[in-house]
Amino acid sequence: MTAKRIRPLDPPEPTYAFGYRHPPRSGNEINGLGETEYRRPTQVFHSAGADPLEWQALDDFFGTISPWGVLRHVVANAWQLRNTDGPVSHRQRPIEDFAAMADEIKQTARRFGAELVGITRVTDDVLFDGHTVPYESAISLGMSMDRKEMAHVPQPRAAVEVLKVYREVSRTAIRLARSIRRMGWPARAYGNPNSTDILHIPLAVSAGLGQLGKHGSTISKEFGSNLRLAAVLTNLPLAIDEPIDIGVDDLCIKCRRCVVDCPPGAIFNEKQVVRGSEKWYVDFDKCIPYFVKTDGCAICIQVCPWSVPGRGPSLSQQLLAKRDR
Amino acid sequence: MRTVETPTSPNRSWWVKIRVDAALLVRLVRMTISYATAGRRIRTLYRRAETAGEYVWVDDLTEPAQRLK
Repeated sequence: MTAKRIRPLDPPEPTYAFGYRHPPRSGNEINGLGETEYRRPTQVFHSAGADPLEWQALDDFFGTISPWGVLRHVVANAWQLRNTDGPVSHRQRPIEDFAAMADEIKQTARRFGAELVGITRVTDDVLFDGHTVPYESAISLGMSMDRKEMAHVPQPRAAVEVLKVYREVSRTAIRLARSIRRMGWPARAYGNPNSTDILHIPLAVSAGLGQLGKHGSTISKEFGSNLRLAAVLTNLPLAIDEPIDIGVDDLCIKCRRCVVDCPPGAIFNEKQVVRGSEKWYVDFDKCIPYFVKTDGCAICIQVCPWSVPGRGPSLSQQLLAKRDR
Repeated sequence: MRTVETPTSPNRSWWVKIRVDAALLVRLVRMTISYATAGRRIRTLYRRAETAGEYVWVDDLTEPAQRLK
């Protein structure tokens, strides 16, 4: 493991040999940048559904120019995701102690390979507009990526690691959902990389896995942003976790690392109003073309000070102590 | 890249599961073949455009790229 902050060497310029003959609607507009009224988010780029999205052509192009190492993980992941749902045992285990059940589920998830586990309620904030799910609780799962491989951002080698971990965390979610169904409770795994009905980052934040960072990704105390997410949605009665405060905002307000290192300059230095709330936001129209050009980029999450292995706990302690002074 | 989702029903019978799984398998094999054939043409066009300082238009490539779904 590289215990240093990663500095990408010579990332490609944000110039593109691809474009839209008929440009789609701005992704920022679709995402609700500057909108003061609350509304649910809309799918823009990745999707697993049949309906074509506004930026579908670029997503298709992204898939086409991805290296074979990425495609093979995507294919294998799609194959394993056929088991996201399945038969529910007719004998339902009665649950009296929700907290004990939550502990048992977390232990099971860890045994299956999850490194971070949190439980929350399914709310409108984690569902795309027009999507509903017949589940009340969500188990958010996180798994870290190999820092040595991720040191190669924004090269294909790092993209392969991202897809590999997505595959592993999806497998964990599938196994966990299956074990819940064996208890007689409905459960469905939601694997990435493609968002289906749910938004994994708000779900992870709400489940206490971490906080939203300036670069628009989850920051956990244990792995910073060097992690990938999946989830299991279920009706199994579980005690829920609270969102955590590890001091992410305290650092993000002053830190400009991801802003400076983002080649297309897509990261805003201040929070933006998005669909009725103020939050960290990344300029979609600047980020996505570079993301496509570089097989998924990921520079921002690797240069983040929180992603330095072992640094999160002490950093959090310092930031929270400073706030108390 | 889009994940191919299978229609799932919690208590579907084994033969429905086999049919759905077979359909998914066929789809993934076709997707891999398209990546190797149509995808290769697109990648070649793109690399040439990159070298020549020109553009490929992603909306023109939608039809062949969609075969990768």
